Amino acid sequence: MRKRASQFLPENVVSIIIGAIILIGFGLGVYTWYQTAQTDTEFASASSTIRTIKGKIDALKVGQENDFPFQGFAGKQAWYIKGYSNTTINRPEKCFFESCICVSPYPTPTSCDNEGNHEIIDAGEIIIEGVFPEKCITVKTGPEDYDTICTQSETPDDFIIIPKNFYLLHISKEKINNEVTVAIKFNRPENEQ
Amino acid sequence: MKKRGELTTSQIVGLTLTIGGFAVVLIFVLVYLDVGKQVGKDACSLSVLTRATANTKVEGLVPLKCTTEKLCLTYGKDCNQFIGEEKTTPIVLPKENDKAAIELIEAATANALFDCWKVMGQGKLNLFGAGKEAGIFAQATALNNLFGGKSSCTICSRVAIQDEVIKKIDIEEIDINHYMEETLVPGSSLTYLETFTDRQVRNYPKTVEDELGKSFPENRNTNEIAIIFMQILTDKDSLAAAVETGAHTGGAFALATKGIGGLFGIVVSSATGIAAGFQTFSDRQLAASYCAPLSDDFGSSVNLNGCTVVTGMNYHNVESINEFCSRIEGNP
Repeated sequence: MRKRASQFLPENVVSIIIGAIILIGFGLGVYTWYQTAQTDTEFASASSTIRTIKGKIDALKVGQENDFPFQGFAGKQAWYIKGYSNTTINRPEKCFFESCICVSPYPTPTSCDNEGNHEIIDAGEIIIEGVFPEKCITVKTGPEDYDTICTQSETPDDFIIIPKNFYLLHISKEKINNEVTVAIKFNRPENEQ
Repeated sequence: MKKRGELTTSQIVGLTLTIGGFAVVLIFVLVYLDVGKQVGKDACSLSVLTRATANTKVEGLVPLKCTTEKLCLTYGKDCNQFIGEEKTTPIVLPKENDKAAIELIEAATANALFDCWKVMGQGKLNLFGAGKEAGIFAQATALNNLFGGKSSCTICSRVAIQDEVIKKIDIEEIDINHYMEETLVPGSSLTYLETFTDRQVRNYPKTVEDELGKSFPENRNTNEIAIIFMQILTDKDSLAAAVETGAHTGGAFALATKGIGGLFGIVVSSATGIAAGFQTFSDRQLAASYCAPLSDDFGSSVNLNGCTVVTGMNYHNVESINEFCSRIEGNP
């Protein structure tokens, strides 16, 4: 038995191991490259979106408002647009003490700091209104029967999820209490929400 | 004396050459073919080819590096449509010569259509995951639209006409359909129409002319169009898919019929529900379309037919574009 075991070890076993390691390494390298390329593309699209929003805001004069069509994009993750007024306490560090809008994979200041991109907005307050989310609860209606009841929230999300196709943003700029307020509202046709 | 398991010189040399070879290929791919650093149509074209030739299992991981080109047809001022946006390309029209200005508008639009068609593979490449509804693309929470399927789009370009131009020239005189029928593609001996129909159609048949000539005033209210490349997969046969796609592209479109063998190359749909086309410039616009079994990464056809359309749509009609495109890939 011992003799057979020793015969089982081929003399180029080291080469096979090294070869396998190289192949796995190469595969991982290609996978990482693809992942990076994909994320870079999405990040570029998200950044372009937020720069365009800033451009539109800057183009509006105080008291003006308009609907702007925007081109969404499909990706492996969702991207959120979130706004932070200069008085917001929990805010991205990269916005310093200014009002800003941010695009990131999660609607949080941390995600904005670590994985997102931001634009400083020259306004005292930023209001973002996303969709009116549906809240669903499951109700027991019989011994083994359940019903799901969904109701639409009365308040919209304070973030906007960038859709995979076109969408409208209603952007307004007005002066409230001597302070410029910018509002960005998601304005998708009813049947597509 | 040689020990068991010891590497021979030839093995060491072979191993070194293999590792070196991999390293060279990797460096070449990462440095010289770095599509991230390339710009414009070249980067887009390369990413289209990379995706189309990638193994179907990893196809979805290959990003399309196509950025929407923004063309501003103007006498010199910026287009309001692109206000606050980056990288716009002005095409300056002669102010004193309306006829030349109209021809430039027709040429710019026809070229934008043609570039989109060419860069995206003329409908012959499977770019958005043929036969992989249960695969990676099933994750896309897109709406179903055309024949209950999911269509994928890339917005190749946006063509806008500056307000001053609209006030001065007679928009009614812009006839891109006629331009594409009469004019040769730059550097080619074929007209745009012949190119879009794989040389099968030289002139519009009467039925198509009638269809293109119908008036849809509601479609005129725009000063900007999006040149859209759309691909959808279907288990319907190519002709049925073509007719149905035609209904969504404004009713008349040129169809390259290689895939369906010998059928006449223009399909006219009577449907008028969703109108597309270059609404500003002409009520009804020819859309280039190609319906055929799609090829996979090794050139063999898959079970599904794909319909590919390049057309222009009112950029401001979000609802209509979303009915046409479930999902969009590419950089806005």
